[in-house]
Amino acid sequence: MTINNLRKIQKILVANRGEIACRVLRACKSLGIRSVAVYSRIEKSSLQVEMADEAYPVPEHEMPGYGYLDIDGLVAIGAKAGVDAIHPGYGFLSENPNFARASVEAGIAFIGPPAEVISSMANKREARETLRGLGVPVLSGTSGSLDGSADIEEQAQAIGYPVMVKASEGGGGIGLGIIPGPERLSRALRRAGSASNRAFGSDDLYLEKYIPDARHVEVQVLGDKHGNVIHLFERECSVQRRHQKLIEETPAPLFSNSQRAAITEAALTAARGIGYQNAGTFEFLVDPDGKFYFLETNTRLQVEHGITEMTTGFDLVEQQIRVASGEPLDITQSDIRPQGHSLEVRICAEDPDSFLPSPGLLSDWSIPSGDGIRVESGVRAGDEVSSYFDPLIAKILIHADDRSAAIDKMLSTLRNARIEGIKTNVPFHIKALESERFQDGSYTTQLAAQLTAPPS
Amino acid sequence: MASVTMNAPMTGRIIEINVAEGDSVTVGDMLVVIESMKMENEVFSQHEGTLSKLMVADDQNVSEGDPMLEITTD
Repeated sequence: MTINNLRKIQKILVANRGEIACRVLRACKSLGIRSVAVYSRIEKSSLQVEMADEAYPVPEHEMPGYGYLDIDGLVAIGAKAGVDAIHPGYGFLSENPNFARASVEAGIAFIGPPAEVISSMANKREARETLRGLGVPVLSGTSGSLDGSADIEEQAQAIGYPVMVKASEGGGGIGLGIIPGPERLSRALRRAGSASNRAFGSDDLYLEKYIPDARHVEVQVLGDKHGNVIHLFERECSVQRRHQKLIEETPAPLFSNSQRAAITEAALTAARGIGYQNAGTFEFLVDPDGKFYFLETNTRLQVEHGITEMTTGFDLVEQQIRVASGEPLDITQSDIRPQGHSLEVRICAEDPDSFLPSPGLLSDWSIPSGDGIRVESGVRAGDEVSSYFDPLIAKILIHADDRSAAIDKMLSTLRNARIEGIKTNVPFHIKALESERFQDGSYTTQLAAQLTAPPS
Repeated sequence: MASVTMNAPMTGRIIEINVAEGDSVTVGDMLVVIESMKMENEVFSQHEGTLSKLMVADDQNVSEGDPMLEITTD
């Protein structure tokens, strides 16, 4: 696949690491775009360095991961390397409006929405209010800052327990806590506040109604700089631990066409309302009655974007680059006709039962390949999986004619995977995919807890 | 008097210490928070007694199995 009309973007800095850096680097290669990787001092011989045309060290920091958060340092690398654009990946600075702004000010295109759009969704408490204003349903919750608010207990009572505390500037499940009743409120707020402060430099929190047996469904959107916005249907992401996704699939099982039409329409309304550009995701909670509520917007590429690519046939990273170069979308809504079923599991370096981290030497790494199997990996056999970074080391994606064939193919791929040296969650994935609730599609966000609870 | 040593359950970095030497602790008390792989892991006491020795400090890197603290049980 070669694109001849990408005149403006001929060289890209991938300001990330691991599997997503490798994913974007591969897209660059297939589009004939020169690529620049960055790496920390413990990643000199990492896969992302090997795959890129050029590589530069991130600014040195005592904690290796912090170099990936250095806006000025990364933009300076981009300028020095002479790149036309920066791809932020996910995590790190991908949803930081200052990074988008600094890139553009340095004359480098940012492959993502404009800084003001990122900004409008960055504070999740404010994003809820914005989308409510656009007529998108949201869960009952607190709207103002909780800081110094004297009646937090009354506000929690008014929402009705259980409630959830969330970090307004949060992401990745950090700073979230379920509060079953008033006796746990102050401790949960304290914990969420300190975790949020450490991770995001802000202790702005909000409360939201907690629905235990809910499903997590999100809608992929794509917009250009000319006002065109389309959706690429939904992804079901309810298998989670610590509020982080482990398994995703599309289409969402047991989801009616009218639900699908309503949720995708809500996402389009939101995307148009905030002037969305580039690839993004609107996340919703679906309650046991099938009603959906907006949770948050991810103003970036998602970890699980690949399953949408497999069913729709469109390469989202390629689309991101085209949009960033100013091209109008050449896909219309009617071009999006998903085929078959796609499923992803996230391979994490962690204990499959306790989900506790398991960094260490990956002595063997071999995942079967074949038709309908896609492996997105940031590691090779012999790599050291560091405790400094997120435990996600790879993703396995499957595409098949229908859901049951996709599950079977994933199971056989997982059973034939050879991963040695560290513990991974592969045994959990097998257990989850074999479970009755997953097989019949009726699972909720409780599935991981149900499968790992000690026998009573 | 017997004492038990609590070891780091994983490799990571100490980001929060909730106890000081001489404190009395009970089962379920949150003692330290270890950050590993971008996760904050709370470590709880499985013993009742007095914290007799604290062997870790804020921001310190620990490996799995490193002794972190000692509790003297009564």
